[in-house]
Amino acid sequence: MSRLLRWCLAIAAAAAIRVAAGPLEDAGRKVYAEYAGAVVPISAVVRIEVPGSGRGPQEGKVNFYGTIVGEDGLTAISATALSPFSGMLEQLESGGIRPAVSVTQIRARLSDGASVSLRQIFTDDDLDLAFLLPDPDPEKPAPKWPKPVIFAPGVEARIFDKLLCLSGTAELLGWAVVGGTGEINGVITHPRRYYLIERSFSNMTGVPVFRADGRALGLAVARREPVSQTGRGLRVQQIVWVLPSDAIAEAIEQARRAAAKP
Amino acid sequence: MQRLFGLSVAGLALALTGCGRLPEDSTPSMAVTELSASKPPSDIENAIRRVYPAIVRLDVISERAADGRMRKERSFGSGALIRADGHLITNHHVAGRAVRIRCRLWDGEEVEGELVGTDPLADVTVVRLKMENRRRDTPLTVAEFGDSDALKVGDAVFAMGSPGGVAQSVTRGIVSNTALILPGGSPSLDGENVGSLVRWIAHDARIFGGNSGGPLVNSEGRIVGINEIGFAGIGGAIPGNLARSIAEQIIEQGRVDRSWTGLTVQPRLKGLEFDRGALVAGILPDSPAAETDLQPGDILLAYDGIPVNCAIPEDLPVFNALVLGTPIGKEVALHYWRNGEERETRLTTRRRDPALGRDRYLRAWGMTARNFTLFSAIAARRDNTDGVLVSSISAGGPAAQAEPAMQPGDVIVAMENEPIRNLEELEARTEKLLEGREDARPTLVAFERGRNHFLTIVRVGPAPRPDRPERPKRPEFHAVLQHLPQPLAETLGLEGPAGVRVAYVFPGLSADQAGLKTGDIILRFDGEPVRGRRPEEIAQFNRLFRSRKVGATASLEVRRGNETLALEMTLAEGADAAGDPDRYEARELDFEARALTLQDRALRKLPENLQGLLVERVEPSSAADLAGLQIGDIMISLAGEPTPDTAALEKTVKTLAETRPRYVQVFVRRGVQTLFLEIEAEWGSKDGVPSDDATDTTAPNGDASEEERGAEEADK
Repeated sequence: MSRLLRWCLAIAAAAAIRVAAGPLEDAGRKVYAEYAGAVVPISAVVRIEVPGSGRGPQEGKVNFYGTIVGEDGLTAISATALSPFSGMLEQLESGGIRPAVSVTQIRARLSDGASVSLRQIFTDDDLDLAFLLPDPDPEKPAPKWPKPVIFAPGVEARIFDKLLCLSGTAELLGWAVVGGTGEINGVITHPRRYYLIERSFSNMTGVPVFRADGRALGLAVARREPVSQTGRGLRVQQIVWVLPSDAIAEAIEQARRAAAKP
Repeated sequence: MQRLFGLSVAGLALALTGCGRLPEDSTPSMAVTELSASKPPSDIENAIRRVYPAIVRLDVISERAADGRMRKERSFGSGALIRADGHLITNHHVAGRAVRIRCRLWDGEEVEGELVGTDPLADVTVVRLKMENRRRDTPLTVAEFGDSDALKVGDAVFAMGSPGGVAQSVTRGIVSNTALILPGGSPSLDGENVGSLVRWIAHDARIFGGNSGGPLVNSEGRIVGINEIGFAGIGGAIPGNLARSIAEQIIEQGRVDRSWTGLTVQPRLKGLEFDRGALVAGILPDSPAAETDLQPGDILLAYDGIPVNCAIPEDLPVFNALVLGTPIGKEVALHYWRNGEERETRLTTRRRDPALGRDRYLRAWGMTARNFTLFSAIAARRDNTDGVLVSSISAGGPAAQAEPAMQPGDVIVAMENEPIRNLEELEARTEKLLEGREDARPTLVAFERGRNHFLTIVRVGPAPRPDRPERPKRPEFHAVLQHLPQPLAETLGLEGPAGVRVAYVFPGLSADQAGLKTGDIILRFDGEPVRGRRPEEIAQFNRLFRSRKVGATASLEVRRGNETLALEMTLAEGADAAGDPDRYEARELDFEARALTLQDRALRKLPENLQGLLVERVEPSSAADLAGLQIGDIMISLAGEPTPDTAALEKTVKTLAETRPRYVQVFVRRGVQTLFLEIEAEWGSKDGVPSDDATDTTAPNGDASEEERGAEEADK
């Protein structure tokens, strides 16, 4: 390739970038700079047992993202990240026997590399929302918490509104936090308000979604429904949508009250 | 393909169901009663008369390392009393890994047994009846050994035992072969190749699952073999002479001593022009044979002055028996042939180690592990037996959750920068590490994986209790709803998508108080149509319902018969249908129970005032399982203390863990019946580290790791 052609391509690329840049992208960069540290990879050990199945408990490690929502490290996650049957136990009950799920060894890895132990203090299966509170090692220096994402009441959006999202690369690229833009595809209002978003925008749960003005609109959570249950396993349909900040703010208060109990 | 004829319980559920227990004072079985009246006894009757009363049925709980813990398994087998003081002989694969043995004598008497010693190489185990626990003082009938070397093909033999674990039996056959080997490979037990020593007595007396360990008896009523395998319709018994000598050693010293040379031989190749000797196949490093001049390819002519002749595979066990039976530490002369001349070399035998060490459960690590033996160290190509081999790992345990995670086959060589030479050191260091602590402690661990030397941090300590997060207070509908597919809806005269049917109303709760009845069809909720043509629409309705506030009122439009009613309901709290009911894992007693939900009460038609917990899990073959506790039982009380909720259960279990009673009574409701069960508890240590009793399997245990498995056959 000639030097001239390479220069032309470079100029064209720079121009394209400049053309694509705009208020949304600027807001996105600001959101990323402020809140990328609040999106944290979390791991936990999940034990699932179906009583009477003849099989022993299945135990394994799960990895997912959560969003720090409090200056003390309070973290919001999707409840289904910890319990694959969250919100479905009623439908899965058979002969009075339900799958039993227990979670231990929850740990978050902060952007500075610190690994912090967490405990699950509050779970709302209907909202697919759970809260984790740090349980730091008293023998170690207190972790330095990143700036939390604030979910304030009254932050709403309409269909086709542009959105910003923070998401992650999971194991593949070392749990790096990445940003994205998208728009609202639909607004569910009944029985609760949810925002439907493009599937390609974010299929991850536990990560924050922001309006174009940089205010937190909600948290990506999931709705799961068992489609069929066969001898080979359970087929589940899942949709990821955005739980509005109103509901999250209310749940944070409930979680705080739960944490305050002895 | 050969089969071991022990009997696992899993495949015998139906047969066991029909197995009645003889009362303690029952009379001997009909077969023998009738024999005593007959005259004169035939060979069969004579044989039966002499041995039948010595047959013992064994009900065995064994342990096996799997998934980071010692898993219990229940099986049945047979044995024969060989000493009046209560010693009986059986197979290693029946009772060699036992942690509990119940012995049932021919007349129905049940006596607890204890493992005296075991020999996986010959698949022979000796168990002793705890005579001090016998409730009778009648003398035991003892079977005598005959001379198995005197058996000839065609001789009549009788296989005796407890096939199916349900009864004693005798079958008749003839000896088909006196030196059976299994060309396709013989059983490997705890890493030992049984066929390297044993040439089985093949016979066609029918044997079944559960016959393992039972005697093969000649027409004189003497034991000439111990039944072990079945192969293409032929039974295979360990020769009585071999079994007897091993049993005698075990009774005398609790173990079997054998010599080891590190020399392996194979049958002579057809192309070699020799009519005597054995082909030297290999010499293990650091073995007595490695210190001699012997090389692979030499022809071994004599061992300790005894001519060697290995022309066919059947000859190998004879040579192996010769070597294994040499006194330990004896210097022996080896005559061999190389390059056209006969030569001599000498070696001093060494004590033969077991193939594998014993697996032990390290709860604080979430793994099982074992020491290296000389063989397993050689097989793993290690310089010595230092280190601890991880044999299995619990996926959620500390070892698996370490970063980097540990795996089965890893060898722990240091902890907190101090070398770890064996399991005992690892256990002692763990105990010291956790002294006075209730939480896990991050610990620096060095381990080897193949040639790689890794470091990791393991959070060593008691397994954490799972979090019990609080859940929001949400209203509950307090009725079971049924969706109405289109044809059913049409039959009921419903038009459009609305309408769900009430299948049950929980008495005394909000739906009942609102006047809802079973059979009602709910058309509208707060003015909105209630859709119900598909199952998921019921879940959607419940979610809608739960989105309301507790204490609010809601209107229901209901069709009852031909009437349409308007009902008003006050929304009341009750999250148990959607949430996860409280549960408690009584680890000390190996069961888990949870709170009863409204659904449980409805489905099981439980009395409204019944207070109890639903048993959801019972560890297979555990004390709770043996006591008869079943999934689905409603636990009403434990050790006399009511168990209305998980908090009460937890309190009682913790108290029991302190007082450690041997027997714990459980009162349960099962169906419409109530019954008492009695758990014979096995209490571990009070800290997170199990006591020796809890970890020591008392017998070589576990399968070879992948790394060991590949090498062990070739190396021995």
